[in-house]
Amino acid sequence: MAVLGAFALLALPALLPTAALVGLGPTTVFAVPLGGALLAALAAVGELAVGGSLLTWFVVLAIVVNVAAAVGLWRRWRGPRTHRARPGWAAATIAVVAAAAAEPLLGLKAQMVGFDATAIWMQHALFIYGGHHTLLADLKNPVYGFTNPDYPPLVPASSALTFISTGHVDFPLGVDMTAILNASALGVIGCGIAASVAGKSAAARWLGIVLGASVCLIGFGIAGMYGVNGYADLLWAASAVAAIVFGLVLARSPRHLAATWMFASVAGLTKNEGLTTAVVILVLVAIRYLPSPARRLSGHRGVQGWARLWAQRLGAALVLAVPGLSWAGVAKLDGIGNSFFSGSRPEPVLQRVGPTVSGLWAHLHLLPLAGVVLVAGGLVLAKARRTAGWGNALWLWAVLGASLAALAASYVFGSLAIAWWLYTSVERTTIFAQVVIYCELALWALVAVSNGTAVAADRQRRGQLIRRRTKARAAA
Amino acid sequence: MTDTRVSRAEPRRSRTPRHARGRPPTASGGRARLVVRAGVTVAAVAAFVPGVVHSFDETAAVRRPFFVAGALDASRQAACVQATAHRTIPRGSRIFISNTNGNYSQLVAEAVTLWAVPTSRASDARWNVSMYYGPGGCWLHLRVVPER
Repeated sequence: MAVLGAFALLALPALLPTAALVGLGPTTVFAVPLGGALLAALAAVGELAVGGSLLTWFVVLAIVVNVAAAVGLWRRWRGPRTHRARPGWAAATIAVVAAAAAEPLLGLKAQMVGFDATAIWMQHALFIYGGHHTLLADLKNPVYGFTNPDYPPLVPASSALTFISTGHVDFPLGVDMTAILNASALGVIGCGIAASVAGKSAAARWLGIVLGASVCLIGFGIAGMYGVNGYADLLWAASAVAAIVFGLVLARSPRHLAATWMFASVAGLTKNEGLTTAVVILVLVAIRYLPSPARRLSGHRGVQGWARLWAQRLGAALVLAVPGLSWAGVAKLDGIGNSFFSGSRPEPVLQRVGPTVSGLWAHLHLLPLAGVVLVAGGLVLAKARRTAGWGNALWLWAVLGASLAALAASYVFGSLAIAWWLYTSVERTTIFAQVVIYCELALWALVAVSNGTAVAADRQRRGQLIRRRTKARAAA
Repeated sequence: MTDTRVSRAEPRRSRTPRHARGRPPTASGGRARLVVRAGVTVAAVAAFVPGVVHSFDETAAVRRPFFVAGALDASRQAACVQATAHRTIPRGSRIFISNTNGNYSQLVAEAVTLWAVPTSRASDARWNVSMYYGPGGCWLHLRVVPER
């Protein structure tokens, strides 16, 4: 019951704003808890930057965004009706994806509170729960340096809200909330994959739902016990992948852009790696949504024109990244840092490259298969992908490459002993890359199947047309 | 002299020969496409089935009695250390954690969050707190002495 009360406090204020941003559909069901967590994280940013308590900021933000969302929804309701998902397919998507996302939550029975969950996320939750002065003093206290003080506040703020809802500190309850957020983020990916084949044949749609649900299960499988013991790695990874699916794969639309912003903000406010990846995603989304005009229409575009276009793109990406960057900015201003890059490295840089590459590679065994599928799909199925309005597959690979490069650079240039660092973290830091690879395989499989059924339907239609013409000629 | 330039506004013509436009792909092209489609689908299935099975295995592993008992022991010990800290350290006081063992000093710092204020310098503290291992209670004990 306690977890239901905590969940209601987190999710209910986000119901209307999420519906206004993402629209009404299966994705909304899973996006609402993420919206609540985003509000909680922004409330924690306000608490650190200005003062006051988490609850005060959460209530103020909830009122402001709900009024704005109500106005937006009222205007939309009065305007022309847009296309809505058919209720049957929406219900099927929600049921299957929710079942898949909920099954791994059975692991919560163990009530595990992992090492980092206690040392980092629950400590930060206590700091936030204690109010502005406690938060600022404890994050700057060298004794609490082991908590990585500059880590973003989304997970601890959500846990602190659960403490507020019950009136006492309860670590397993905070862990439950993190696991529910993990499941929600994976559910959003599942719905995105299912939505990618909306309007296609029934077979393709069922396959989309099954593959989307499978990604939820596989995400938890990759994370292992870190999915249910309070770690934040699965949450940032799944949110970032959701941002990729909505921003760089699905057809361009204002709804998808709003959803991308929301999920990238969640990723950016969950972990530092999430912020780096979210910024890369948002820059690519800005490039995709503000494309270069066709050469034949642009005429002679000078250097100024290109500079203006790139300034627009980077400006748009920066505006979209404001929530994620807000915590990093406030932490920087307050002199809050971490120990990853301070101090001297125990090994020379070159000696760290080999272990880093082999450590990462050990968790990316599906990468070659995904590469082969990319080449084969790109050669044969690229047109079908374009016809469906999907983004180029290389967008996804660009994010994957940039994320892995940033990760490798952190390990190589960081100041912790490389063997110990890789041993304790690499299986978590590669969750994002692994989920991206599974998504890529799912999307190409959907292109293959939906294109196949589309070609068969097209042939059937063509045959009917020829038969009708032949009959008409014979009659004439 | 004839002007051979093409107007910019005119759409670029397709390179497909006129006789082939609008026709279904050739048999060999269609077969190749079918093979690639089948290959991509098989690759996805080959990756997804073990992934889903692994996920079910992970959930089952986390629910084993061994795991549940271990997690319960850990949370009991953390609660015991916290209760000891709250019993022996005056609320709101400034403490110096004198353990050189990083694990012990971290456990003490975690146990006193929101209860006492750990400081990095002994001269700023009112109490000196150290953790040691020994039989009885939760096997982790706190020694709290006034800081000179």
